[in-house]
Amino acid sequence: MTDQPRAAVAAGVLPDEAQHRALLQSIVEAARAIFSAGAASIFLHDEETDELVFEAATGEGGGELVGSRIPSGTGIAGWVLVTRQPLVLSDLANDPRFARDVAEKTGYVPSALMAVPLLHDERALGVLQVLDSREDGRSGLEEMDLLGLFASQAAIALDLLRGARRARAVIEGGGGDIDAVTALATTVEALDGERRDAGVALLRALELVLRPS
Amino acid sequence: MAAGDGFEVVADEEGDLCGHGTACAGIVRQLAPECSLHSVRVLGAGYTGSGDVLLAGLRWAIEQGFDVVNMSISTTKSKFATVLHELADSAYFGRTILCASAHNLAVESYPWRFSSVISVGSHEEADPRLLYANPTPPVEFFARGVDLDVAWPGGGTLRCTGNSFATPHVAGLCALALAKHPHLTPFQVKHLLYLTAANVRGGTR
Repeated sequence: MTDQPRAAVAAGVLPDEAQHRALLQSIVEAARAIFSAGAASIFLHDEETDELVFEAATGEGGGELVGSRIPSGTGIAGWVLVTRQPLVLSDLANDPRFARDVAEKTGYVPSALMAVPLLHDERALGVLQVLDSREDGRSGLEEMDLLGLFASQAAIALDLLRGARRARAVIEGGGGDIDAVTALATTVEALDGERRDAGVALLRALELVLRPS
Repeated sequence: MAAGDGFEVVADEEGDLCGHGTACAGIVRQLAPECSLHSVRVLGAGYTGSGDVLLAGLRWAIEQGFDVVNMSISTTKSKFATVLHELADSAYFGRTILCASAHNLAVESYPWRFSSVISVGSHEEADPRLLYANPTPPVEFFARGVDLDVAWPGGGTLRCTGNSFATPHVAGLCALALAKHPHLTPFQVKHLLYLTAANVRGGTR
């Protein structure tokens, strides 16, 4: 079975990953703007490697971050993921250990950091971080609530991205119920003439029968 | 030291890997300077499996009969809820007070929602002993949790905000109460916290 029909089916039944990425990117950009922040980013927890992966970033030091990974059990993001507790830290630049760790990774050392776990259903999917939000009179608790609202949105977007990636992996890698559909698409693709017309007509009829009333 | 479920609680060589335990211990120490403090590290080995480690650590702490356990941590996994509930109840009846951080995100999480623990959110005032009782639980009390300087690994402090830091204030107050009145049960200590909350008037007539 060639990859082309599988990819064609995948493209037909799944939104493009770029759309999910655009959604995550718009969330970090909105968060950065609302908090007048220096940077904002979203991490996804990679269950296979037990690492946190930068999925979206905006602001200082953000561009090169997407795709980079950190261990899930250490650092501020790991702390937030594991405890499922949002937190705000300031005066970070005064902490030599933190500054060194972050600077090695990003080249940008924030002086303040807000981080919130991205929780969807029972799962902790990742972490949203907002760096160097401007002091504008908002109280700490109000900021935490606002960050929580962004976190709900980001968690849903992250869950969509995860689901789409998993579905795509099933389609492109074979296995599962959807593999039957891709196998059928491959077979019909290889036909020509009357047999192809008959096959397509049969599939259309089958789809009509199976369609929920 | 066996903790059940295939886990073993062992002496730790690595210390605090993320700062969480140091920050919380520092707050407890600030409120109750003469208390004896023990850290059970359940973080740092990665996210996967952290729920099982948390349960094993908590079970061990309850079995040791500690007077107060601070839990600035929660889980959203319902498969842990039943066991956590049983552990929280056994702590309650065995005179171990569990202080657990609430959170304000729109998901179910545990153990802070259980009535056998003392659940804690944040207020914005600077007084470390100031408590507010919440007339509309499940969050029961609010303690200092905004812009406070906490101890940080390697020395020095960091300014932090979060319910993680409000909770050890209540744990410290519980330790103080038990130091003076060691016969108090978790129910009585919770009642004492309620009667000494700044927004409660005329608790005894």
